Amino acid sequence: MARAQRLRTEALPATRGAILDRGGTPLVYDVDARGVEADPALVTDATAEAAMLAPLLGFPAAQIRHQLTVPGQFSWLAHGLTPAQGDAVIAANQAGVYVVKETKRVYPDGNLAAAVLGFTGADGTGLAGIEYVDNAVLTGEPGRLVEEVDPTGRVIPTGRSFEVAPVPGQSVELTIDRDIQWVAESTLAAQVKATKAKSGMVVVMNPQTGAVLALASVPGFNPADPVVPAGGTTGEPAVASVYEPGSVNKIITASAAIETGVVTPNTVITVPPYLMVDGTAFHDAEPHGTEHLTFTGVLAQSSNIGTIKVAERLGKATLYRFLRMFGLGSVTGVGLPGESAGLLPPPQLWSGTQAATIPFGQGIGVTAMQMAEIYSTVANGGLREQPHVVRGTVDANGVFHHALLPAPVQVIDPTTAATVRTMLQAVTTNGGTAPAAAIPGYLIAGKTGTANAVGANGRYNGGFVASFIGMAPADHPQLVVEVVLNQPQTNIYGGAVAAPVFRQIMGFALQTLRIPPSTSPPPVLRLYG
Amino acid sequence: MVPTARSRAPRAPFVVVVMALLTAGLVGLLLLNTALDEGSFALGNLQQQQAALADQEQALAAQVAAAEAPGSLAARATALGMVPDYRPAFIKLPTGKVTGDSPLVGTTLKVAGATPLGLVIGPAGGLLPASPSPAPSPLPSASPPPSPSPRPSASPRPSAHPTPAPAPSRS
Repeated sequence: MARAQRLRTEALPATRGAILDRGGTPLVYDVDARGVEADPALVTDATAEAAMLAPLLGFPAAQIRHQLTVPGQFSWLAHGLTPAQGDAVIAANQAGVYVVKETKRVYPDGNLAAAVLGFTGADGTGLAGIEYVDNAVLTGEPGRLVEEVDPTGRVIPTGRSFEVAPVPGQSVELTIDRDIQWVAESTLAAQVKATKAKSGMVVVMNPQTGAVLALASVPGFNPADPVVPAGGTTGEPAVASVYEPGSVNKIITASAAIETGVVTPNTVITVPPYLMVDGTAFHDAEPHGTEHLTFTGVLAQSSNIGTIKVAERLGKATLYRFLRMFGLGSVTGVGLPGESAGLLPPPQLWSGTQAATIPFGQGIGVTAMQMAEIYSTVANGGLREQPHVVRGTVDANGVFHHALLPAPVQVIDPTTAATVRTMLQAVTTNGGTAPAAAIPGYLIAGKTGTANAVGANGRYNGGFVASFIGMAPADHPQLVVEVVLNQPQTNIYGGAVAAPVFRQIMGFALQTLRIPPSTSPPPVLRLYG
Repeated sequence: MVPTARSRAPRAPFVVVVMALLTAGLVGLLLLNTALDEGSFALGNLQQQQAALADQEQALAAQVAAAEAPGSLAARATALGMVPDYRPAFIKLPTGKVTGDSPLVGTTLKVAGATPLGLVIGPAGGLLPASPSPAPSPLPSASPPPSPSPRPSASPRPSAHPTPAPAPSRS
């Protein structure tokens, strides 16, 4: 019993693993911190003690006094203090106040990539983002140190002691590039503010590997103090938020049409000013007379009527097959929590008008991540790589272990993909809907989207979701950048509000990744028949 | 018969020796324990020092991490009067031909020295400003060396100070 009185067991907390960017720079990591707890039963003069502690803890004295007088024998006064602050509290030597060791997550880049990183709760368990998904990997195992101590707490050297070393958590290395992430977030935030949009999303992906280089959402939040922002979320909208994509979805209709051979890029389509389908009149964005556009011209000018006519040649069943093969109606598996599969009903449930609207991206629900995956597939010669945010893990010895990814899937023929990429280069010319996305010196292929936004009641609310998704260099793409603005007020068109942000982010990414300008000449594209 | 004289070995010295041994042993033990305890105190002190230094290192490392965050750097660049330029432009060495997204496309820039590492990538006009830079350069002013010597390529990030030529770095 005497020995038992001398034995002190100290829990040795295990450091939680860090989350690193693709360059190995920590985006969030553990530091030593101190917590201050109180035993109200032993507090002698709550008011005086609260006054002494207020400047040391940084809280108002009234709040501290309340915590010192709760019924019972335990209450928390503060968490996450620096060790120096903890020493100051120890030196103040207030009755019934104790300092304990704890750990704290530190975010050196502020709010950067907050939704991807996630955050931890008071007990250090991951609650959102990668902290949640990879919690088992990040959490170490606490150790134990048992020693014989004298009454003042000093270790008796001839006494027994044994130690079980803590096992530190492993670190998780993301595919995110810190600098591209910052540029994506800052340019998106500036445009959301300038256009008075409700929110915005950016996805930057490497089509050759499926690695997500940046994933930005505005408004973000502070992971060190995760309060849900007004009109925002602490989740990741790029995987969780479902919206109707609009014309950016035409890439699937185009790929299906070229792959099955129902049209070629130069097939001339007669585009009337309106088209009746199932008793409803469909128009294009700009009113026009009867035009004769090639299929390339239909895509460049984003003609809904032209798209409907091509989709009629495809048929519902074939279009649905390609929609599913490109990943719509399934989660991408990118590795973030709360991912939605979107909304894609089977063709037998399509209404008469849905058969007309789905080819141009209304009447179905998608996520921004699904759209990035689709464009990456076309960029990568029709080969769909697994989108992922985790590159691998780093163990306690500093050894990097690559994440295992499923095998890629060939969705369309490489020649089809090349043809579609050539056609989509017309979009960024002066005859297309997004000359603002062009980057001199580079071949850029992409598509605009200006889709009816859906309100909380499931009906169109009069707003629009403006997008631009593009790839560069178009002849052999190494990057896909997607920009989505939710209900911009100053201008609704993807070519006007999303394309300029694309140009900034893609420009920076090309520069930072040292991707040289295209050497092939721009293709000669015929828009009119 | 003479009774054998019992040799009465003097008992006092024996007792003294034994007592001395005992005392020596006790003192030795006492000294050992004292030394061990001193060591334990010293250990405790050093461990405290180590913990304090570790805390200091942690605080400094956090300062460094915050300072090198991209948001921090961007704020400091803006404070210096710089604006972000996201136009990718390239200078092909050794000819100095400009390609990419730059108003200088098609022209040729004079480059003071060639690097054997090939393309040097930077924002348009970053290597040769149109007019002498008013800001003091942090690098020692260097005249081009008589023969090209291997030097590391310039950073791909936009440099904070326009430099007149790819200057040799002093490691």
